[in-house]
Amino acid sequence: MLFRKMLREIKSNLGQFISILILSFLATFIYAGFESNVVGSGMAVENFHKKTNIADAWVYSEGFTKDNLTEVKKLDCVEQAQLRTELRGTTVEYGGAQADIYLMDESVILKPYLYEGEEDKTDRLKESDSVEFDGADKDGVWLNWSFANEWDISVGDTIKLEYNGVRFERVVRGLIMEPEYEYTKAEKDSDINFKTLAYVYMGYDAFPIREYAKHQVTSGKLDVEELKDSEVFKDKIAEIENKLAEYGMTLDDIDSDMIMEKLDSMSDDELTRMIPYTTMLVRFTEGAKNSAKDKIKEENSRISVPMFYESEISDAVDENYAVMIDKDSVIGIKRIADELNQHDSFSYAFALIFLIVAILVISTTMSRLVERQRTQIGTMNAIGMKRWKIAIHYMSYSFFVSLIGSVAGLVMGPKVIGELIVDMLMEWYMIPDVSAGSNSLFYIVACAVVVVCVSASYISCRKLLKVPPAAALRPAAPKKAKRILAERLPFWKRLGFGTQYNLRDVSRAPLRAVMGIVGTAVGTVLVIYAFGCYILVDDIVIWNFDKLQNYNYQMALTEDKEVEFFDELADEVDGEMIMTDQIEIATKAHASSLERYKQTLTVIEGKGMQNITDEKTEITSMVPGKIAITSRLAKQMGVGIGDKVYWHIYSKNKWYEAEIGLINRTPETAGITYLRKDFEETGCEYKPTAILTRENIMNYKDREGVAGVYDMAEIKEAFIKGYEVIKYLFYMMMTFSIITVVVVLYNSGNLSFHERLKEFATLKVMGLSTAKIRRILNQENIWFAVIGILVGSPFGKPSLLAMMNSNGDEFDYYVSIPAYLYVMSAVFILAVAIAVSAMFSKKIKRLDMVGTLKGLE
Amino acid sequence: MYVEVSNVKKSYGEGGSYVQVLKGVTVGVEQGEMCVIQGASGSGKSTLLNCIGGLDDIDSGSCKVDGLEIAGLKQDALSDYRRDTLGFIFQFYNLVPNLTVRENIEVCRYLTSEPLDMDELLETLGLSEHADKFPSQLSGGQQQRTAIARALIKNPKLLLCDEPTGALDSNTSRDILILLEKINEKYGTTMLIVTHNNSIKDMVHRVIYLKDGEISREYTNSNRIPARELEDL
Amino acid sequence: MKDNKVVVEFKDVVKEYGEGEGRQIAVNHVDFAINEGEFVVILGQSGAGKSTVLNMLGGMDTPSSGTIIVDGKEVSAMNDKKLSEYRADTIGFVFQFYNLIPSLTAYENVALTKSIVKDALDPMEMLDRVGLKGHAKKFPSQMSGGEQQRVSIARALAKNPKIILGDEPTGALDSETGVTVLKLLTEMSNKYGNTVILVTHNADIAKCADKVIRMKNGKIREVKIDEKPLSVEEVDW
Repeated sequence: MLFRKMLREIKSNLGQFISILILSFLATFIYAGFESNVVGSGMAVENFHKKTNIADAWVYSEGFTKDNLTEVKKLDCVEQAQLRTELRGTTVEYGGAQADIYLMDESVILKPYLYEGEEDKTDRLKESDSVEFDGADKDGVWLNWSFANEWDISVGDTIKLEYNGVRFERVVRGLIMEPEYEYTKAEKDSDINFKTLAYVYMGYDAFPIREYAKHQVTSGKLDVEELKDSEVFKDKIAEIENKLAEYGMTLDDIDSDMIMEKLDSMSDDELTRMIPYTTMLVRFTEGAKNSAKDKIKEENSRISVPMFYESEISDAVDENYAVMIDKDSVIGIKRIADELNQHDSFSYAFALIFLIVAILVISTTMSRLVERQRTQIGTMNAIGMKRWKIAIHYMSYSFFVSLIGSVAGLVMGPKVIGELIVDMLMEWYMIPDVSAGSNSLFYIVACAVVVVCVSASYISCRKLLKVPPAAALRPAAPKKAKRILAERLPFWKRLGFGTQYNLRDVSRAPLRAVMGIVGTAVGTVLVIYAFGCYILVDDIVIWNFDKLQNYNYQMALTEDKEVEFFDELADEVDGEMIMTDQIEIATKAHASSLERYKQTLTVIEGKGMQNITDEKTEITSMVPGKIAITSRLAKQMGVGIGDKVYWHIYSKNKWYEAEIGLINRTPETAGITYLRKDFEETGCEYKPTAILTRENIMNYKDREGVAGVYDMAEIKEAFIKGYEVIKYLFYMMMTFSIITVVVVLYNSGNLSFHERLKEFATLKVMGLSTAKIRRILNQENIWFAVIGILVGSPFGKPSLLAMMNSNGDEFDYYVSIPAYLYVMSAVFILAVAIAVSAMFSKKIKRLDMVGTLKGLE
Repeated sequence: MYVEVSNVKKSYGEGGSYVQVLKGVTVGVEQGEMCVIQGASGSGKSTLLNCIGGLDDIDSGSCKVDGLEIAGLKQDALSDYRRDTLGFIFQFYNLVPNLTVRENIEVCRYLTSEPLDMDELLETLGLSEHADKFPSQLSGGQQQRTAIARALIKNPKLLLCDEPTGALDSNTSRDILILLEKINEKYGTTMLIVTHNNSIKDMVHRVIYLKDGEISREYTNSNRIPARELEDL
Repeated sequence: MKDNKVVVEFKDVVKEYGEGEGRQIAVNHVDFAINEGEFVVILGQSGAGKSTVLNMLGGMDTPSSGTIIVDGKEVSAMNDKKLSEYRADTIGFVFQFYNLIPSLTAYENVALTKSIVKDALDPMEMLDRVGLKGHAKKFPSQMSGGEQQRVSIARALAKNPKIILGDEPTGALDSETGVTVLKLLTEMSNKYGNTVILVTHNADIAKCADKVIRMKNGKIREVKIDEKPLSVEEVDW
């Protein structure tokens, strides 16, 4: 029947135990909710990678040979290796979207995954006719599902592609998904947009090599000298040379007709050799990976398993490569891994926070409860009940309550939050078959929550249980009052009775004060976080679209024209040219792969359309002759103004040196920026990728040299939409904040009230008005709220930035939270505190003086 | 002797607040006797009772109850001793507020393997109609009777009472004392009653006076007055 | 002879609790009057209704029916706020278990009356009156029961109330200390002219009263006026 006692006492302290229930619920709810996504998505990614036979390493070169492949395959550590060519083209229709073209003979590694679409999507996309990739198929391409879905393309439709001025049309044989594009972003975009990025897998035979070769020659793109050097044409040029020599002419007299003639005589296969193998995909054996793991551990190295074998690969290809990376450097794959990591930390962090608050609430509640039952405990002891039985009785209070909360959270978390997040994420990431998952860790965490709550209970009771029964039995347990520090203050006497009374009460119950302060501090952090989220979006939009990108239209350029051509075009539209490319940067030339950072190169002309902003997001200008480097990258590399850095274009081998003249900052891109003049002086080829302008150039779509035209207004809209999820965060944080503050302050007030119940009754008998008593009771809570606000405020901004920047290394958000928002947060928390205080006025008014003073317990 | 106390000393506090409450008490009580321990406030009578009951540790000396040496026992052993041998009655009843009368008594019933019959006990103590009420709904006398039922359901050999009538008016006090007398006659329970009331001693077998932590006087009552005739309670 | 004007009047006061089967009548049509400056004892067994009468007198409880007039004010008709003021200005309460605030010193316990009434008397003076000037800085846990009760009396006096109410004020004290406290209380009435109303079941205390109201089962059995009450020293405790 002690169980019944427990139930009745929980009922009469309902507020407190519901708080414990809510807190243990929230802890597991948030944990299970976020983790179910982490686990589920994680498993789906792993499965996806297995099904597609993902590569361990990507090796890039200006041109691999078949011999390179053979040598690599011979290596003991290598299980499989495959060559392919990566080209960047565009689609002819569909707004001139970026089209990444992958040419391969066979698909062994990174096999495309035929995706059928969701159950409820239109079954035009249900590919009963799709076929597996076939490298010999001359007319077919395999297109990515996300692009097809956006533009309503089905299997069997044709698609027109353009590469460097050559257009060709092919049939779509299947719709695919591929790990390198789990995160899909076109180069010109700042974020995911399925409409603007297509990728196709096709066989070399499907590539229009003849038209391409002819186009290269007629457009003057092929240099005779280059032809002479190239493997493919060496002999043919020699033939022409000989022929010309017969007429007393040299190679300078060569003209395109002659070359065309030769081309015509070549077979497709021969011509195909013009296309370099740009990439080698490698998979290592299990055994090799395991032994690498062991050796890495021994050497205490930070290198990854695939990169461990770089030197072997390098030797096998005779150093004929520019760079070798593993999947951590492929942003399409890394992005979701980073995001899942973020969710992971988030779930643990929040579960921990709520658990800590729960511990504080439990400790204070149970100490108070047990203290009040002092004589009961002494009596039970006196009667002969064993102490451990009494202990279990009190531990059972929080056991049942936290068990219910924990189980409820465990069940509802995945269903509510888990599914929601998975759905949200899978709108953006292209991974098949994802659902919220769970693992045994969930049950462990739920148990841990219960164990922690029960332990907190036990620890609160332990002291009293050790007291010999005689001491526990004294009816009106005398509370030892003692001098407190505040009494030494000179103005102690002038403090009102209420203040003195409360100061003594607080020093008698320090744990309750800690709970009150920690709770409101947490609430304050959450509110500032929430407000910060809200203004962050607006701030970033202004930073990105008004300051950094100060133009209205963007013209993407093809790769087949000379710089002079584009200069003219730029003049025509009064625009600024910009070049972007992927580079590797390090503090010394030819640094080891560990010390290289893969980032972005931007070359601007300084005409004011693509701008540079300093670390405080104010527009600034480049230092002539020197480069700018983004601040987070600079910190990572340990460099500053005046230091030298070394970089090379990703797929090219030559390294260049540069001196840092400025530290700049961008929200989402990291890397270095050059002024065009300085860049051209390095000797690296200047290949502009876009013209930025304020004039409306939408009708330039079909002009030569133009790969696509974009309206920045549309891009801005898409960007803003992508950040909408942050507004949800805002509401979530505000809700959690209110819950935390209310729970903590309500408990504190409740405890304070009950601890001093007899005293308040006495004061009421003595004639103190209800209003005055309420003021005394609430004064403590207001103190806690104020201190909590002061303690918590500094943590608001850092925690927000920490979360935003944990998205990945290239993120470097800047948010300046204006003073008025701190004030608003403080006011908000105080308002909640005062609202909680109002909950007690009824209790005080209804305080039964007679009953309370009669009760001897 | 059923209860044998030999040279028991007990002190509290240290330094400035050190006080020796029992300075070497030697006393004995026979089985089946009702005994009053009387003395002024601060004489040490409650402390002596607590020591015999194992509620507090003895500094030195010996205390044997039914042959078992109490002094030096650990908490758990004392707990067992209390469970098996003792019943307690306190001045302020010390009932569990969140349990009914019946449930309060049941708390003790589960501690023994041979409890008295619950309904019979309720009847004897006049609590049958109050069995499902909470302590807050009972008068002082009814609460004390509940406490007595709780102590008795274990059928203890030794009943320790600390100011059992201290919070009750004289009529109710008399009722309680009549009850104790009846129990002593019916079950032969040995009783130790601590009180500062001067009239109760007239009904018991043995009277022990404590003054300043020492026995000042003890005697056996040759002319006992039945409880119902006591006055000035 | 304390024959001054009437300061307390109970007119046909009834107080009931509970409903249906559990209905109890604690105070059953009670009438009496008390004059200013009198030392009154309300005597009765446990359950006689005397505490209930005191609680209503003290504005801590309201009657089910009937009128209570104290110092010309109709207490039975007051709302919560007015009762608060009434308790502050008119009544000084002394509890059986002292009910001092444990975290305040003796001085501070008495001084808190300054937050309750505008012209509270000087706390040190009050402590002196009850003979505890030297204990001003002590906490209740450092004082004996008798000393605590005396502080509680000082606290009641500091409000300079019209009426002092006591609920078994010596109930938790041994006889010697009880005598000291009782002396103080009778002094309030005899020397300083306060109206003092005590509730007790101890018939000896009634021997010192000017007026004894005997209650049984919620009704008044007898009101006895004693022209020459005994002094505290004269009673055989």
